[in-house]
Amino acid sequence: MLQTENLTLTYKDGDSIVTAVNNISITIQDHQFIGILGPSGSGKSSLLYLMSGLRQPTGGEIFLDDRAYSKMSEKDRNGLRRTEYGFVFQHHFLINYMTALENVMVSPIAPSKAYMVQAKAFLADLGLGDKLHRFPYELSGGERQRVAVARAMIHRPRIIFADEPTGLLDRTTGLQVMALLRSFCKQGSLVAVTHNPEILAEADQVITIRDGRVSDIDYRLMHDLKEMIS
Amino acid sequence: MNPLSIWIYYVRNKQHAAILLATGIMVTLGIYSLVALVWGVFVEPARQAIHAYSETSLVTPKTTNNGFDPSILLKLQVNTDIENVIPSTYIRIELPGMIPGQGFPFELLGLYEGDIAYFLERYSATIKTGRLPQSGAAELVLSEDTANILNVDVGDEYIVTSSEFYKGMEAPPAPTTFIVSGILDSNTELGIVSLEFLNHHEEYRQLADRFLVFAKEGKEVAVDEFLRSEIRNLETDVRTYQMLSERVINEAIPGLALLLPVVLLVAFAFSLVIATINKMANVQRLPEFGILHATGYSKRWLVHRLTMETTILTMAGWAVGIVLAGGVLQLVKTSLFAARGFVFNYVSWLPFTFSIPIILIIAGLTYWTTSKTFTRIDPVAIVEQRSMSQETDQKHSRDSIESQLKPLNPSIFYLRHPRRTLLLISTTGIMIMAIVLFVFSLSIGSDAKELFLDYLSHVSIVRSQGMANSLDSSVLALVKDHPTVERVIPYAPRYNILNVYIPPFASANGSPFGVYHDDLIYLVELYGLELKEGQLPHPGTNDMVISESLARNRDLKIGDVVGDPEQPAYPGAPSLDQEFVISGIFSQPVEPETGNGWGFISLEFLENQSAFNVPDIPPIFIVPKEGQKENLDNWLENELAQQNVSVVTYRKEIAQNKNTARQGMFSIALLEIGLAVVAAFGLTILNYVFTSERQMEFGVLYALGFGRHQILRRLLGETTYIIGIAWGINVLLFLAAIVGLLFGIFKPMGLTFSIFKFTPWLYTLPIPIAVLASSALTTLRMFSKLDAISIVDRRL
Ligand SMILES: Nc1ncnc2c1ncn2[C@@H]1O[C@H](COP(=O)(O)OP(=O)(O)OP(=O)(O)O)[C@@H](O)[C@H]1O
Ligand SMILES: [Mg+2]
Repeated sequence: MLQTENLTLTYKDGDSIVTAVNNISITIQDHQFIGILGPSGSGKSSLLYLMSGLRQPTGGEIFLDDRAYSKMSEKDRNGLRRTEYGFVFQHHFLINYMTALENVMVSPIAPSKAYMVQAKAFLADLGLGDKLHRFPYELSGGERQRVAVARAMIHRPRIIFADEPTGLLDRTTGLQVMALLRSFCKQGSLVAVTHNPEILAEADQVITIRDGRVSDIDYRLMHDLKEMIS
Repeated sequence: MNPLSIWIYYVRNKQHAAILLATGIMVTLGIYSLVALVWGVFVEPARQAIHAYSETSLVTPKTTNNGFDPSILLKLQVNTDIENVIPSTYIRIELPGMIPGQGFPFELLGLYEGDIAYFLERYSATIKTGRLPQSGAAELVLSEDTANILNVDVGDEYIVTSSEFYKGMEAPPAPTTFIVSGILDSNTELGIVSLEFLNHHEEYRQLADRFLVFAKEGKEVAVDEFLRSEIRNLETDVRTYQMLSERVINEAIPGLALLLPVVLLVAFAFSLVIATINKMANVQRLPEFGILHATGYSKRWLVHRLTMETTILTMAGWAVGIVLAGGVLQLVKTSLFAARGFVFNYVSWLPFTFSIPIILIIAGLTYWTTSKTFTRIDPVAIVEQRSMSQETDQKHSRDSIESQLKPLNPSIFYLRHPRRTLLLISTTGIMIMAIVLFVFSLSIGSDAKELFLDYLSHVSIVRSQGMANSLDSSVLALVKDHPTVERVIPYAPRYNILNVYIPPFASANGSPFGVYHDDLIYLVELYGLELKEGQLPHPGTNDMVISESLARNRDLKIGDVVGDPEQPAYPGAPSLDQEFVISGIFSQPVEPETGNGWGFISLEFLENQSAFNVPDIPPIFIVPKEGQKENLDNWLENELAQQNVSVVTYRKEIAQNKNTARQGMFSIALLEIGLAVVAAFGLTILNYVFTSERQMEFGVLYALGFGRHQILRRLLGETTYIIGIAWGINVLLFLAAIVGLLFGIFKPMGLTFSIFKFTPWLYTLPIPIAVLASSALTTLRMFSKLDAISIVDRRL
């Protein structure tokens, strides 16, 4: 369970101060798919960076289970991203001189033969079984993003953060990638920033952010329950 | 500003411009200073040492038993272009050089009291402190600079103990103490002693008489011509200042010739760096070029423009580099050279000339690489923004790629970037090579010289301090009676008859020893020498037996004549008053220390030749009793040496030889530090450019949870790995070259050296270490500014 309490992030931009994240308190339960919506510049990415420990908040606190980020060292916080979290960016950010398989193998803390077998199986499941040893520039955009997803999943994280993972993909490929990410919820939680309603349809919660504040939380599950009861 | 002007790109891309400019500055600064320093340290003092002849010419009539032919003097005196002819002789001393162990011959002029005033006037020299030497007194005046170099002042003693004193004799006359009576205020380095004193002094009796010929003002050329054409003949030796200068330059040429490849190599390595930086910048600018090309600019025009951009920037860097070098060298001049009395003309055509190839090589290479890149440009692909990644043109062949279990291993990056790897390895290698070339030539020379000292392995030498002087009979008695002594063997003072050429520019004395016949037989047995061809010298004849090494080195055969001035036995062989004929050649001993350096002539023969000047009690070889070598040498060095005699032992000679090489290497170490700084700069820039290009990778790794330390450690691991490999490969290549040198050149020349000496290899280390250290620093700096979020948040 990941919890934020009055989370705040301000940027100094010259003389003016930009509040990118303003007093956000949310909870991410295990095995949940959380969608994050919001206009450009509303602070979605900033929130992901804070939750994943990439950025330090200017105020508030984040807990992973009962462990407060502020009590952890930078090393430990970094370590979380290698053990507990996975990250998928809008752009694939694969390392261009490594093969697809090697890009996946970058993630595990202690790469081993067993991981290698697993990574191969993973890529095969993603339809890349015959492209294991290709370099990123020899793959299509969708294929690259699928490798990036595999990289975020191979070390069995508890939460995957995805920042507009399908933003640069066409609809079909986007859906493929999203289905993959969605399937991850069997193992852990998925926090995805996306504008795609098709994708959000499956979310357990959709959090809408405006000017750094949570403007709406749509509890889809509750909604369903309500419907059932009525 | 015209958007297509050559400057606009650099004005807008200051970092790229700064890197190119800085590289140009560094390489120019490095090369100019290197060449200027080598010139200042090795050549300039030698030129300075002959300055005393800048206003005059030397005429040396050959003397016979009746003195020289007086008609020569008459001819000089009647020539109306000649203002004055004054008799003079000289004592050759050694001026210390800028670095330890280095010295230059300098001639103290012996002048008659009546001529000194005229001489000084011609050189516009005046007495500054003290007074001129008194007629017949052991007194000396020196120009101020020379006094500084010798570190003496008025009233101080200066002891003449020169080695190269007379006709290439091995040892100096007995030391003579001169008192410095005055210091001259003079632009020319001068040293003057009283000719009356020299004439009346036993030691200097044999000095050649010479005449200093002074031309009338404006008639210098005519007099030069007259001396060269009418006076110079078999009986008279003529040296004009120009001839002396030419000789100095000619002697410096081999050393400078070795410097040229060093400079070219460094310039080439740097232009590789610049070409790479340009290429990477060009890849980023491909859209610009693609669009220009699509709008009608030809590829040739683009290539020209790019080459011009780089060349102009390099020229700017070159100019700044020269100015900076001037500043640095001025500092060196005042703090090191001038303070010790040395002239240092750093503004000179030589370093200037040497620094010009930098621009040419860089421009050439830039032109070549850009035109190569541009032939591959597909404007359509570029305009459509495809194929823009740095090494996309470098498709890996499919079957060779096998995914690795640990993709973050240091080897992966360089395995996947073979061109970069090659570039780093070759540039590192070139810079290492540039220096090691110097060090090895010294180490090899010193090794090969040792081979010709091994005749001392079973004997030691005692001789009078004046080589031409008789050994003290009491000393001889002491030696003969000493319990460690088995046998005493007299030998003739060793004249420079033959020498061994050691590539690239060293030599060793290979002259034979004149011993009596029964001693000759004894020594041959003692050392187990065997004749390969011919026979031992017959007593009383001009026969000569030499070592196989020497025979091979100088391509000498039985029957060859040595000493003939008309037909030298080999180029540069000394001409002698008496010729010798090679009658035998020893086989090369298989074991080391077994007398490789031996060669003999008949002492019975030399005794009858006045030119060879064998003293009453000549120098002696001392053969120790069995097992007593060390005791004998201890006694000779510690006790007998107190008796005003020179003692030569094997261990002393070897130690001295090693020491000379060590001192030479020390000065090279200083050069190397300078070069290492320049090399480290170039390679660090290269490494920095390569690394900053990988910002995305590091940002992503950080976002994936790798700590800064981990990423940094990995990067340094990679650098260490590649520099280590570069070092390894270059050491192997160099080892191969050295082995080739040994078996291809040295062995056939009768020489040898040890490949597995530690010190020269040590010199391969500073450059890699400097590169590693500075790469580590720049990478650290870059990482302190790494912002992972700005990288992953970038919308591509
Ligand atoms: N490094 C920074 N310095 C200053 N301001 C920043 C910085 N990064 C982000 N901001 C500002 O913080 C606010 C939130 O940015 P953020 O990137 O989180 O928005 P976003 O919701 O992800 O937008 P988008 O949908 O366009 O990705 C914006 O106003 C942005 O300008
Ligand atoms: Mg965003």
